[in-house]
Amino acid sequence: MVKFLFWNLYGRQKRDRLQRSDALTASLTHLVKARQIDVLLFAECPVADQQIVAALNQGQAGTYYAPDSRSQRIRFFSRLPGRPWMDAYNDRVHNRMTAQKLHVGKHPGILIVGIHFPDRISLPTPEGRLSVAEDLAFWINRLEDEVKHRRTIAVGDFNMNPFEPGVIATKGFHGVMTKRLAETVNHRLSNRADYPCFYNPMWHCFGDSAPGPPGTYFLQNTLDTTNHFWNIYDQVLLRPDLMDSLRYLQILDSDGEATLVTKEGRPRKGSLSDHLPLFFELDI
Amino acid sequence: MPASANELDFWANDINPGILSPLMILRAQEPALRKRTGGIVEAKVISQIASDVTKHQLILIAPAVDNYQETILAAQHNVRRVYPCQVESASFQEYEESVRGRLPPLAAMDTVQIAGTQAEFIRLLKLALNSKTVRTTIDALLAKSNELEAGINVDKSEPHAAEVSNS
Repeated sequence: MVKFLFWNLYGRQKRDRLQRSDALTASLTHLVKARQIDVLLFAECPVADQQIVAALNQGQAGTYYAPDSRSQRIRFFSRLPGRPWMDAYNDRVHNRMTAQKLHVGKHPGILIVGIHFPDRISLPTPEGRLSVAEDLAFWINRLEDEVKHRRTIAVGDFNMNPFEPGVIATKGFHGVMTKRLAETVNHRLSNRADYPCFYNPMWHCFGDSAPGPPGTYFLQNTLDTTNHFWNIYDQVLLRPDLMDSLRYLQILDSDGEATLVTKEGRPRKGSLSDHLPLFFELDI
Repeated sequence: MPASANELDFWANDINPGILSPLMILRAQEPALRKRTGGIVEAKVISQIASDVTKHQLILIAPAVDNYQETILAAQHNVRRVYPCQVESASFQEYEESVRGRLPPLAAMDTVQIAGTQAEFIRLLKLALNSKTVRTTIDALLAKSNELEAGINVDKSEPHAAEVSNS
C-alpha cells in the first residue's frame, strides 16, 4: 500500500510568515506520524526543502527525501526506499505540470502527474480553463504513449471542480464520476474513444455523506446567491488501469493531533493554508 | 507615354517569397541542437491543433536521462495564418522591455510576445534559446547525461545529509 498526500500550502499573506511556516511544518510532522505517508506533493509551498524534510523526519515515520525534480510549482517528498523516482517531464513555459515516473509496486510502476492549474482570477471563464486543461491533457497522453502504459494518476490543485468542463470534457482531463463509466466510455462511445478518460473519485467527497469536510476550498462569498461555498479544487484522478487500486480517499480536517479547520469547519487560511489536504492510498 | 510595370509596382520592398513559417523555423532547431550536443540533448517540436489554433511546443529531450523532457517555448497561431504568431517562454523575463520613452527601471519582458513577421519570430526565438534559463537547462541535462554515461550516480542506499537531519 502506498499512501499519498497532496496539499496546496498557500495561506493568507501575513506578516508573521515565520509563525505560519512553523505551524505548517508542525502539521506535516503530525500528518506523517499519524498517517504513515509515503509520498507527499505540495503546491505553493513557502518552506524550503530541507525544512520540510526535517519536519517530516521528526514524525519518525521513515527517512524522507526530496526526489530529483526540476519542477518549481509542485514539490515532491517521499520515504520510499531505493530512490524509485525519475523526473519525466516539466513544463517550463507555463510551469503548471510536472510528471515523475515512480517505480513502485507492479511493473512498470506508475506515472504521477502533478498539477497546479492557473488560478480562477487569471482564467475566469470555463472556456479559458478548458483550453489550458486541453493542453495539459495532451501532454499526459503523450507521456503515456512514450512510457507505453497508462498507470497514471493526476493529482493537484486543478482550480476547477470535478463538474467543470476542463475536468469532464473529452479533450480536457475527461474525468468521469464512476468506475463503470471509466470502464466503458472509451470503448462504447465513438466520440470519446480517442480521449483516454480518468476516473474521478472526488465526486464522492462532496457534501456531508463522505468522511471529512465537504470540500477542499471554501469560498466566502455571500453576495453571489449561486455560490455553493465548498469546492473540490484539489483532486486525484486515476486512469482505469489504476482505479481499482484506490483503497482510501479522504479530505483531511485534522493532522492527527491538531485540527486543520476553524471552529466553523473551514480551512485555517490565516495560520495554515486556504486549502485542505487530500489523502489517499493505492494498492499498487 | 504608358508607365512601365515596375513603375506601377507599389508593393512593399521587403516582401520575401522565401519566408518560413514558425514551424519550419522551429523544426530547424532540431538538427541544430543535435549537432551542437552530439545528440546528448535533443530538441523536438510537438504540434497540435485545437479548434482554429495551431500550437507548437519546443521541447528538450535527454535520452540518457530516461528520456526526460522539458518544454522551453510555445508558439501558436491561427490555423490559416501563421503570422502573427504568439510566442511564450519564461525566459523572456530575463530581458528588459525596450519600449521607447519608458523611464527606468525598465520592466521585464512579458512571457508572452507577439511576432508579426518572420524577422520578429526569429528575434524572439533567438532571445529564448540564448537565455540563461535555456542555457542552464541544456547544461544541466548535458551534465546529468554525462554523469550517467560515466556510470557515476548517487549511492541509492545513502540518503542525503538533509534527509537524515532531524534538527
